[in-house]
Amino acid sequence: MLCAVYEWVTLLVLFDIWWRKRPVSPVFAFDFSSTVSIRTEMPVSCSSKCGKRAILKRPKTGDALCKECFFWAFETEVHNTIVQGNLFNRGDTVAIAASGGKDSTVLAYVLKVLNERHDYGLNLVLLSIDEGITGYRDDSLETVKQNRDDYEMPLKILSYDELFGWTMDAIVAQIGRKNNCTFCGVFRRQALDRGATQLGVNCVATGHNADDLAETVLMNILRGDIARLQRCTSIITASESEGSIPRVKPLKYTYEKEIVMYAYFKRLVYFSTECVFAPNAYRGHARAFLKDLEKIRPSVIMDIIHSGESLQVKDDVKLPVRTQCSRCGSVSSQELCKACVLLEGLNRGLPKLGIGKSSLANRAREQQDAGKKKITNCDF
Amino acid sequence: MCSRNDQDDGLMEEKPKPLWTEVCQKCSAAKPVIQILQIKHAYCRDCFLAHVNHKFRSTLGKSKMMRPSDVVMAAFSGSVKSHVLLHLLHAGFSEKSHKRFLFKTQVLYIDEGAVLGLPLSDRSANLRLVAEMSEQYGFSAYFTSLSCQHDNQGLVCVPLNKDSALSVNVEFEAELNNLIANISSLTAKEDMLKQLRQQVLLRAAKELKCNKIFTAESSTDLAIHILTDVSLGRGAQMHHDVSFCDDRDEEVKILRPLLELSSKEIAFYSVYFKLSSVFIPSLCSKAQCDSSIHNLSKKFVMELMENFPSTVSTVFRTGEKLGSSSSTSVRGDQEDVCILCQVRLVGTAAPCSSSQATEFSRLISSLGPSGFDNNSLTCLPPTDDTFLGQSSCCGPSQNSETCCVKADVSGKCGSGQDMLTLSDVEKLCCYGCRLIVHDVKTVSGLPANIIETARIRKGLQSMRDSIKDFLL
Repeated sequence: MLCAVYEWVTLLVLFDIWWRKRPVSPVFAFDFSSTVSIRTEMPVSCSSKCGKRAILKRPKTGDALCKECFFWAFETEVHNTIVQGNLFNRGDTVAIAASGGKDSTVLAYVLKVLNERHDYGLNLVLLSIDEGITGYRDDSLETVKQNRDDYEMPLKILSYDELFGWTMDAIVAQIGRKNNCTFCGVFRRQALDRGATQLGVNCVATGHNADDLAETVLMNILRGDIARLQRCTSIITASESEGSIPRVKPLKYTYEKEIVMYAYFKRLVYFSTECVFAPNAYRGHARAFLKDLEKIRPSVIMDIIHSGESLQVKDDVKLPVRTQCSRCGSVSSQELCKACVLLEGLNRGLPKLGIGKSSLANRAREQQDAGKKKITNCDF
Repeated sequence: MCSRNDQDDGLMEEKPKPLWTEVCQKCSAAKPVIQILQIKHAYCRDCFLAHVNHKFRSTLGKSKMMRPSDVVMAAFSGSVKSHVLLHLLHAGFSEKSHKRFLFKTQVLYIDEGAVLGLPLSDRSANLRLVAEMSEQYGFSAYFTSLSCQHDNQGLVCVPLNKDSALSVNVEFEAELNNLIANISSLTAKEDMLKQLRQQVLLRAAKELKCNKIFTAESSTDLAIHILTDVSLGRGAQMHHDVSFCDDRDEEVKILRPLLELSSKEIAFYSVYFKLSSVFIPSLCSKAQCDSSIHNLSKKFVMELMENFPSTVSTVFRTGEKLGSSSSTSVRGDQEDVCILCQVRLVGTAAPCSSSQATEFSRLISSLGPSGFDNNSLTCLPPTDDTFLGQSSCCGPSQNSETCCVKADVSGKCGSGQDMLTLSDVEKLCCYGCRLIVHDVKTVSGLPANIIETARIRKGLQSMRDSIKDFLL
C-alpha cells in the first residue's frame, strides 16, 4: 500500500517538474529525458544498481552514485590511469609532492590505499617544499606532518632558504607583489627536482588534477607557448633520457570537484587557504573562463584535455631545443636555466633580471658590470 | 611565467594612453586618423586603406595558391566583414593590368532564416538588400538556403538579382527546424549549424564549378574560434578551422583571405568606404553570454582585449603554428572520415587518454563494484572508435536511454539492421561531433544525407565483420 502511494507521489512530482520545465515550443512531445536529469528533488538510487541511495552526482559523467560506489569508482579510476599510463614500476620509490592542499592529500591517501590493494610494491615518501611564506606555508606544513603520521610515510622538507638562500618573504620584500609567483613557481620546480635527487627516488608524483590541466592548456594558448602546449598534457614528463627524475600526474583525469567530494566524505584533513601573496591576475581570467565553461557543459574539462592531447604542430615550427643549464646542470632550453637567472637577479639586486626579455636582461647585466668597473677604477 | 603578462599590463598602465603622432607614420604628410597595432602606428585615412588592401593582397600572394584558372566563390552573408571582402575583391579586379586578379569570382548568399523561424517577409527583405549590395560590384551572384542539405538531388543554387524571390520548400524547412529543435543545447546547435553551413558551401561550390571558397573571418574571429574549438574537443582538427586554407575537401578549398586583419581594421575600412551591411540574426544573437560555449569564448576574448590588447594576436599566432604533421595528411578512403565534419578519424586512441578515461568513468559508474571485474582492466577495448561502444541501444548511458525511449514509442527498438541508433551515428563521428550527437534527441531528426551515409557505412561495417575471418 505504502509502495503504491509512494509511486503516485513520485509520478505527481515528476509531472509537476515536467510541467514547469516543459519546453515552450509548438512541438508538444513528452520529453522524458529532461525530467530524468532533475535529480535533486527526489531520492535517486545509485547508478550502479547496488540498491543504495545515491548521495552525489558525478560532475564528469552525470551519474548518481552512493558513497561506497563513489569511493570505489574514484579509486578504480586512479588505478586505471596508473595502469594504462605505465606510471610506476614495481619496487619504485615514489616521492609524493605534498603541499598539504586537497590534491596532494588525496593523492597521498589514494596512492597508499591502491599500493596496498593492488600490491604495486611501491615505496612511498612525502616531499614538501617550504617556500618561506609566513602565515601560509608554515601552517600547511603542519597538515603535511599530520599526513606523515596518519599515512605512516617518511617526510622530507626542503626550504627555499637552504637551497637558494632566499625565502619567499624576502623575495617579495625585494620585488613587490607583482611577478613574485614567477619566482615561487620556478624555484619550486627546481626544489622538487633537487629534493627528489637527494631522496634518491625513481619518480615524483604531483597532484595536478583535470581542472589544472585544462587551465594550463588554455593558458599556454593565451600565452602562445607552443612548446609547452604540446607537452603540458603528457602524463609523464619526458625527460628520462637526460637522467632527470620524471614527474607523473596520477590525478590527471580526476575532476577537482570529485577530489573535494572524496576528501569531504573520507573526512581527510587538508589545508585550504589561498596564498597570502596576490593571486596571479592573468591565470585568474583563464580559471574564471574555465569555471564558466564548465557550467555550460560539464564535460568541457575532459574535452579541453582531449584537444590538448590531440593537437598537432606544423613540422616547420621551430621549437626550443632542450639542453642543460651551464651553471646548475638542470634541464633548460636556454644557456642558463630560469632558476639560475632569477637567483642571479636577486643576488645582484636586479630582481627584474629574469622577467621580461632576455635581451633586456643582458643589457642590465652589462650595465651593472660596467658600473662596477668604473667604481673600481675610481678606487685606486 | 604567466606573470609576464602582468608586467605588460603594468607597462600599459604606466604610459599615457593615446600617443598620437603629429603626422601619419607612413606618408608623413596628412594628419593621422586611426591607430593600428595599438599605439605604434597612427595612419592617415588613405594610408590606412592602402594598408588594408595590401594586407589582403599579400595574404593571397604569400599563400601561392591562387591560379589564373581558379573560380572563386565568395561567401557573402551581408555582414560588414563579408561586404569588405567583396569590396576588396572588386578593388583587385579594377586594378591596372599587371596587378589585376586573374581568377573569376562568384558570390553566394545562404539564407539561414529558417533556423530562427524568421517570417518570410523579413527573409525576402534581407535577400533583396543582399542582392543590391552584391549587384553594385558586378559579380554574378547566387543564393541558396540552408535547408537544401535535406534535398538529396537537384540543384541548390539560384541566381541572385534584384528581382529574385525567395522560394521556400516547406518540407525541407520543416526538416531543418526539426533538426535544430532536436538538439538540446545551444552550444551543440550552433556547432551543428556551423557544420551544416560548411557543407552547403562546399556543395554549392561544386555545383557552381568553383574550386576555392573565400570566407571573411578576421583574426579576432579566429582567435575566438581557437578557444571555442579547444573547448569543444576539436583540438585535432583546429588547424583546418583557423588556418588560411581548409583543404579537408579534395576538390574545393576554403580560404580565409581576411585573416591578417583585425575586426577593428575591418570595421574602419567599412566606415571609410561607407559600406552598408545587413544585420541578420543568428542562433546566438541576443542570447546570454553564458548560454553557449561560442558566446562565452567571444565574451572572454573581448574582455581580455580591454586589458591585454595583445591577446588576439598571440592566440591567433598560436593557431598559426598548428597544422597536420606529415604522417597524418595522407588521404585515406572515404570511410575513415567523420560523417559530420569530414575530418579524418584516428584509428585507435592511446591507452591513456582523455577519451579513454571518460569512457572508463562511464563504464564503472554504471557497473558498480559488483558488476566490474578488476581483471578486465588490462583488456579494455580501444576507445576512440567505440565511444559508448559497449552500450548498445539499451546501454547504461543517459543518451542511449533516451534513444531507446523514443524508439519504443515508435515501436521499432532493435528491429533489425537498418534501424540506425544514435550510438551508431556517434561511432562514425570525430570526438567533437560526438558531443553534438550526444545532445541530439532522436536519430530521425538528422539530415537525410547523413542518415543515408551512416546507414551505408554501418552496413559495410557489418559485412566486413561477418567476413573478417576470411580476409587476408
